[in-house]
Amino acid sequence: MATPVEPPNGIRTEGKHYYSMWQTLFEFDSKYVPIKPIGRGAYGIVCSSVNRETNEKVAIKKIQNAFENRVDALRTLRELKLLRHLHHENVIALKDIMMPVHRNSFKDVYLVYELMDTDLHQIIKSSQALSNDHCQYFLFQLLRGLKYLHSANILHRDLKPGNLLINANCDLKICDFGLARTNCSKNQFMTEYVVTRWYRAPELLLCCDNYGTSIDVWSVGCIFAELLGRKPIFPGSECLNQLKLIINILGSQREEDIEFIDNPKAKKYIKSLPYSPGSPFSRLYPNAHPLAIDLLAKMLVFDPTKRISVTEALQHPYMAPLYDPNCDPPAVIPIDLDIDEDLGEEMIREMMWKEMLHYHPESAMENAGLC
Amino acid sequence: MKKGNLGLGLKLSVPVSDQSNFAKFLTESGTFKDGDLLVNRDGVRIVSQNDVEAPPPIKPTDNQLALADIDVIKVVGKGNGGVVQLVQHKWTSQFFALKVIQMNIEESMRKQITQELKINQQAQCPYVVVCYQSFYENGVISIILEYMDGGSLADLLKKVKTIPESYLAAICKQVLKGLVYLHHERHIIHRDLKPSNLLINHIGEVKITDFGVSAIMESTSGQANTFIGTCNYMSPERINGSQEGYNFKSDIWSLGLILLECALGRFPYAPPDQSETWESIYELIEAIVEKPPPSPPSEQFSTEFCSFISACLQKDPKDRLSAQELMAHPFVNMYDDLEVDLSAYFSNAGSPLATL
Repeated sequence: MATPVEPPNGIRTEGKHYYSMWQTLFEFDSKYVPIKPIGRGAYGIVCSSVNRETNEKVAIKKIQNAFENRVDALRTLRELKLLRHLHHENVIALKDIMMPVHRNSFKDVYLVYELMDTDLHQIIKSSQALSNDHCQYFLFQLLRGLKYLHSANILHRDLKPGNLLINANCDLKICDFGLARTNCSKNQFMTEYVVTRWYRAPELLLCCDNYGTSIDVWSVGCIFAELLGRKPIFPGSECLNQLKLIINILGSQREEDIEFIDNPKAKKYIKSLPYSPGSPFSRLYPNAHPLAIDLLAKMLVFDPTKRISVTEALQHPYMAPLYDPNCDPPAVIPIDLDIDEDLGEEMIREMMWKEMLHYHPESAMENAGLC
Repeated sequence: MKKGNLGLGLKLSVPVSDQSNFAKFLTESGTFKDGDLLVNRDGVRIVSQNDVEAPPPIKPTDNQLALADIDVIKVVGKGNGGVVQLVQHKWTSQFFALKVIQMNIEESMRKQITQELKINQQAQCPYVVVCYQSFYENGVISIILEYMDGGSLADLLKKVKTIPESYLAAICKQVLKGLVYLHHERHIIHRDLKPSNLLINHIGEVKITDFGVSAIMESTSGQANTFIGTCNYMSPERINGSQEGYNFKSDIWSLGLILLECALGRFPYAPPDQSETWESIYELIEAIVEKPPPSPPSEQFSTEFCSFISACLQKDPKDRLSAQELMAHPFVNMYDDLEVDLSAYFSNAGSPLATL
């Protein structure tokens, strides 16, 4: 599937070799030999590969024209800065970033991740049977990884089944940190959308300015429900419809449960929705373990101030067979992830280059010599 | 505690990727002719010297297009949840638009979507963008569409700001004919009519697009979208979520807003207190649901135009005219004698034409 090809313009660069996959040219460091393409999307193309120096399998993501769209470029930069600091069993490891040939004009970025077999979305939609043990173990790992992130003051903000990578032995790792942010108390208005629609917490749908770690817990609740039901629990077609689906299942909210909404027109809209008695989770998921239902109900609470936290969720009886607080250290230090949203292309490229140097100390020394 | 111990001996059968898809993807050539073509890895065509005649253009019913036969020229837009590329067919040199939507869809949903796209492929109406073929490979839907070289009405508005009534009437007539076809012949609700879903070309045609994609986007996760974008053109009954929300008349409301936007040079609902933007979507939906519908100033526009807009922007869908009824409205035909030339108008507005 991966076809070796001649380099563009016929100029071969030392230390690189070239392959064509899905009509896309890949410029790999020589130590990486591609196996096959495994996915593609708006971000770029991913292929599995072998690191010949270590005989380790990796996933290489090519982000084509990384600086063409500034928002996407910032997203990539944010993920690189974050992943360099994050080291946890349940968070995907970024193992390498390939150095481009031209420091000041490179357009593509090649990221090397540890290779996982599939993602939770593929599992959920497949015919693979999932026992209570499977659901329990997946949820446990997700909560454990999330606890690590939240202890580092990081909100993921885009948790969904497709962003949870899975191995055949059921290891789970959280990936895609392009929308992650530090949980700062600044009242900056975030104009970009956050969280893919189906997994979006009520406080986001209702335009609340101050949200926190509880938005990730809501997403986990949606994912948990999807594991139990094998289909999305709130598949809204747009944000108003999303709210209606939530109210239809949780039921109309009492006055004290919508006090958190600080936008008066949003609150008015919620009140204007037709009355709904709600639908118990035990009826939606009749075969689920009773403790799973109890935990799910505590996660999918409309009011974020009353929603269970990640730590509390790990301490819930449903997690008792797996959770040992002594084996779950927090991140060493909070991570400063603030990036100036107004950075220009050249500065973004320069900062990305600096991230690459962390994976290539030999190049850093060369550059120091040049100065 | 060792990592392995936590596994509890659990195992998964990892879904096997379909190997044949890759081979098919890389080698399929629906237009292969034995003896006339030499295909190498670049897909270069070598035709015998005796063959002077150009290959015939591809028709929607041919079902012979393959992604491998297409060269990407450039990205021309980011459409509804996906990227739109200008592409050219290797053998016929025909231009198409290739819409690529990333979505991991359930297997049962895939069949429904493929069927829906198939139905849309049979949409033989000069006022609806042709869908030639669609493919689903590894989480990506690729849809080969008719290429409209003038871009969209939204692109046009960015250049001209406002559109004079006579041209609006000509545009409106074509859109209405498209809606008559969708609503009355195919019984399809578009659901997402907006300026960027009305495409134009240099010969003066206006065509509705994305009517199948809208339903797909409603059925699957698609891409996350902005708040305001999805609700600007949504009718009051849809916002309120009554069962009547999904109705052909919703598209009529959207049409009214689009035409009024073209006439005024701005989205018809303005943020309160002359502020620059809406504070949140809820300010906008309150305006749509609770305030009187917007209308064109009667001193600047004809009685017929004002009447047409009023017929579209009735808050109660029962009071709105249907596409068929609107075709008979005086505004639609009042400029027929003027021989309105949309082709010249679109071209002079500086619409980008297809160039290599």
